[in-house]
Amino acid sequence: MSDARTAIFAKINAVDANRRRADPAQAQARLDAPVGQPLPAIATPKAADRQEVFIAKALELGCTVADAAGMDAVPAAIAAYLTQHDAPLEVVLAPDDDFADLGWLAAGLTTTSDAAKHALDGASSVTRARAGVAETGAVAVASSARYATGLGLLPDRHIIVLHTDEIVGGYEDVWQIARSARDNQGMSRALIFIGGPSRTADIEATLVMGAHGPRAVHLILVA
Amino acid sequence: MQVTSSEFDARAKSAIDDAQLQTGLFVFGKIFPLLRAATVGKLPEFDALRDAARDIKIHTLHTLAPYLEAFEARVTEAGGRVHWARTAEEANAIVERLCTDANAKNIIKSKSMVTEELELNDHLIGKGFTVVETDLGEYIIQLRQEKPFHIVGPALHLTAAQVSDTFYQAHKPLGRTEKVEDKVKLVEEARIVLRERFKSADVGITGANFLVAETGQIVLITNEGNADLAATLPKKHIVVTGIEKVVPTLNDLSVFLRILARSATGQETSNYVSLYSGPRRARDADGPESFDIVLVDNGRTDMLGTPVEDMLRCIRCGACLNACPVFTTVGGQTYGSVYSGPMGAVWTPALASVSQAAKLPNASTFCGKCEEVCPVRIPLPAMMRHWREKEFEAHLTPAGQRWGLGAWAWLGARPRLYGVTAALTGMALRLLSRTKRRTRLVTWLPFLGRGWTRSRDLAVPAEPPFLSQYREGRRR
Amino acid sequence: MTEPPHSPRARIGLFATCLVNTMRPRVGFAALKLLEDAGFDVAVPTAQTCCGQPNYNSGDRQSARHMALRFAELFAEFEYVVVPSGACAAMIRVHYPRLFEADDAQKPLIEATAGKTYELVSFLTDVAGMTAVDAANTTTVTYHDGCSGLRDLAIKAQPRRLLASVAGLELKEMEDAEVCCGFGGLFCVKYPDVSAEMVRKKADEIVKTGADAVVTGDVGCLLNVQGALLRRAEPVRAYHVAEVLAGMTDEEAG
Repeated sequence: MSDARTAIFAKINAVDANRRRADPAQAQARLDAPVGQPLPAIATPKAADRQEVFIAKALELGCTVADAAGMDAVPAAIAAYLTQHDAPLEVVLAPDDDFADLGWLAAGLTTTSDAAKHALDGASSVTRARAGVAETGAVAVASSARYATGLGLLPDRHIIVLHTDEIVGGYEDVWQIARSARDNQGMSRALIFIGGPSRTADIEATLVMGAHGPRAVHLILVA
Repeated sequence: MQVTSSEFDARAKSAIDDAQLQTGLFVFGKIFPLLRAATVGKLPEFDALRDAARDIKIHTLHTLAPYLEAFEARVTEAGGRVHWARTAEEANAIVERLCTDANAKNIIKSKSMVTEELELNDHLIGKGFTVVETDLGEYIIQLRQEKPFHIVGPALHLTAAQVSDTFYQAHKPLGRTEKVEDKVKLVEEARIVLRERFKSADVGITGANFLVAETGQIVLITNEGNADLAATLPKKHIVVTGIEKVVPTLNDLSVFLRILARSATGQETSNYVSLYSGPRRARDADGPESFDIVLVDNGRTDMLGTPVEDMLRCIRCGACLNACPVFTTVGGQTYGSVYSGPMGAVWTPALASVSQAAKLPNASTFCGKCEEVCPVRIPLPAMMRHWREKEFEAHLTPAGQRWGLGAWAWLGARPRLYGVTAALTGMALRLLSRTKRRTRLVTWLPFLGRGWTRSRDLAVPAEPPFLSQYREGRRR
Repeated sequence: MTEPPHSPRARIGLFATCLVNTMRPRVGFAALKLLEDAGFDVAVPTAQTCCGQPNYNSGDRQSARHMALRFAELFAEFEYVVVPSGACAAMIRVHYPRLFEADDAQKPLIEATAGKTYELVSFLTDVAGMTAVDAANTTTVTYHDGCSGLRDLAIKAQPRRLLASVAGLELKEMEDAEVCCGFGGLFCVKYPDVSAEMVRKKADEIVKTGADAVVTGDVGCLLNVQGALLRRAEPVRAYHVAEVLAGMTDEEAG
């Protein structure tokens, strides 16, 4: 226990002694059973509306969105997207089980799984995600063996494959997913809400896309 | 914290005369409030969320020890380490030691007001480390060795031409020979240059917008994604943050996520809202090998239990700066402190000292617009007044002013003398007056009055004081 | 108009305020006229002085407390206290209670004083239920919202409602009517350059409306914007809202 830690806590506790003492039991209770906070309506759209709301918001954030009838149709959808944007038909593929037996070659795509940072410059990455959030249009990704965080940060193009039933209402739904994925070390190292291409307005307040992260985020919604 | 707030007046004057700066202030004073209003207007629950945010913070600040302990325990379980620092010196020493132990050469940083408060960069550079800011605005002012213009947009007082000059000078040694003028191309150049920094860095230092006690997660909120790169690519991730940033649970965090971007930039969400806990797990595909959090006090525990405790609720959105008619007239650099505007007027005396920062809480008309827009309902004018009281108690108020206030209170208890003073004032003004456009006015006054007449005339009273006339029997 | 919730011929104590008293006495008489025409019995305790706001805002809490107590005792006999100033009314209504601890013996008196004190226009509309005045004035005006009145006392619609009832009067809103004019009590002389720039912007907006006059509810704001307009030799006149509502806008003062 460091001197600084002891001193800081001593000061905090001295203040609390003058008013009502901070109740550790009360704090623990709140941590164990988090209190609900006001939920805005945008976080709880009707299930039937969720997809439409999510897509509208994702478009507003500067994502592009396409459909695929099933996972099998995903490689073709990606090839179409890359062709449309004059991008090479090469992708860095996250090692997700859902991608394992798809017809990448048949769709004309070269795939690699090399997610080393030097390999991702100028690249297009393809990953899955944990959830799409209708409240904001953002997509939630989490670090794991199957998701290198760098895949969503370094490439020029980040292509995210999402099932339509992975679209949830709001932040609270994502917390539920994240909490249930906890292990004895706790939460995933990284849980990131990606709200479209990286952007900045730091020069003369002019919005420019592709600051440090991807210049484009493309969502493929799988039915 | 080093401040040069005593130079407020001179800097204010040159800021007002600086047309370029005023253009930058137009963005904050006019555009940001419009954006905020539009987005807030679309969220009917916004005020209820502000109340909830305030209440969460009040509860947390009254229960700080258990939540900090829980946070520390969760971080430790995840494989991270928590360090505690009472002062800037301790915090900087901890970060230095962590970097030295890791044989670090290249350090990248994402935007962190606390690290500016600690002057961490100067400390590390002084010890021989290379430290590069990666938030574009912070990078620009780092190159220019300037202080931030605004906590959200640190470089918005500059033109693209100025940024172009800065990049040209700074990037020549890196082999870039072309001078780039276009804004999009400037961002591209920064992307390319900083990309190399990101990839070659051995330490990434970030701040934290929030700390979640329930899970031991830190929250980083950006539009650029630079904080995420700093938290992911280097082998060491160091977080430097204030102890007041903790919130109890993820449910509580949701409330803040809903009000922060709306208040800061009028966005419904920032581009990247990221939660980090600990180093990479054994199975993770990437991530830092170590995760260290430095929890900084630096005067915050001194604010607990005092009339300025509410300031610890601050979520650094900058809405108060944009709402403030003084800030939007003079800009952030006038304040001579890392924290400017209304929030700076309360933080700076707390973290530096009342005497050093005296100019700041006095640079307010108490118009109340800051309190009106604050997402966590901090009563900013009341706290500025508190600092004025501390100043008065410590006899730091200029002697003439103190004497004048005493004389005024003395007169206030003596209605006859008060009345005589009123009458004499009117007479004196009429004596000094001339008539212009059918109005009797004074164009020059001595002493404190000079401040008035430099830019205004003063219409003089056309008749004896109201109370005198009333006493004489006038009723209409 | 519903019956006002006060006793018939309620006794009002008028608190003129220092700036009205010294710099713009006509406002005091305009206030008297408006209140009496509305059916009230108005007295002016002539032992009144200052509400204590300059001391309070300068950190001299002790003096402000003394002045608050003196005020409370002086106005104790009245059912209402009416003040032709948003800033001074807010000082009494909102800030006086903050000068006294919960267990202070004087707290009840102070709370009572605060509770019965109103800014003039707010009193006329919100308490007396007035919806129109008798005045006539063929002119175009613009209204500046004083900060204390607006943010501490929610005064926004009330002056506009009564001004709209002045026969022949047209109100043209300025841009940024709610932005501070830069007076701020001692602020305008302690930070003269910043204050000058703030009032310059306010004067620009006033002139842009093309109005004949600017109207406001506080003499501090009034002197400030008027002073800037005069220095720029703008023909725009400046009035206190009480003067306009009472039909007392002739002659030289403004």
